[in-house]
Amino acid sequence: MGSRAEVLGVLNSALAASSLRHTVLANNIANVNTPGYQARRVAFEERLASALAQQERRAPLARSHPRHVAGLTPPPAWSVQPDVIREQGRAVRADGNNVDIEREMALLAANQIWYGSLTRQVQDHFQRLRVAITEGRR
Amino acid sequence: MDLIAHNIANAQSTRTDGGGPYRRRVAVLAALDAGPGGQRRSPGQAGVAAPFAGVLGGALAGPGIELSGRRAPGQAAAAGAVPGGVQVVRIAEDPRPFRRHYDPTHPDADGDGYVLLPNVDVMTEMVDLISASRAYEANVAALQAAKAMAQRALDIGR
Repeated sequence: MGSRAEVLGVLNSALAASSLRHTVLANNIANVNTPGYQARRVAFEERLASALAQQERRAPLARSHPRHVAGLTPPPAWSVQPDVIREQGRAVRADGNNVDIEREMALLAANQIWYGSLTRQVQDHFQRLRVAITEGRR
Repeated sequence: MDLIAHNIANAQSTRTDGGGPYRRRVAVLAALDAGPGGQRRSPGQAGVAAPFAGVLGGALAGPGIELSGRRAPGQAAAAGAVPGGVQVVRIAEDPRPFRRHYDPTHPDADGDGYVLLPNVDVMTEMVDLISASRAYEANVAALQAAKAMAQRALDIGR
């Protein structure tokens, strides 16, 4: 993977996942006192990693007849969708709520940094394009 | 926090408009879930207006909602629905019995000399107040993070 459109596509997909993660974390924090509420998470990194791994393993099959199976082309990395899942295996309090406020705050801070690094990558991407267009001149 | 302050202020009220001592009030909370299309459901009888944090969060998650809206029909919508915050469903009264205190000189004492005092325990209220304050600060931190992220996004292309 290396074409300009693919890089921007993956960054865009990751930014959308980061925004969604912020919404989900903020919602967990808002519901820290709601009885029976289960914390939610956003699954994205695992899906992106498996999509990238599938792309590297891709090898089109040679066929002797047009109707033979040619091998499935894996979905491109930029089309990986984030998904909201319920968190399992966390301690539940007396009111049925399993939100750990310290964990949510730590994940929120980490997500904020991740979002910043992604926007920096997009910024640098366009900056490089600008340098190429102006041939290094200002 | 307003309800807790109200409870503490009325911890000794033996008379109310409806007759009898003051009964402790509790807020019943429920989680709000937006539908798969990202539409927020109506708040319900409590009529609580959508807080700014929810609106900002919804705006930030715009592309995320569109991208994750396309999913296989077999997946459960409840687990994958974009969450939409919390709402106060109603303000309930604590059904626990009143405290009885023996004081024949009290104007509201009954025939046996007992006064019914509100079922408010100030210790419990203070603990709830601390918990509510901590949750409030955490929500403010989430809002600040959303603002910072939006500012960083605006720097793209500058």
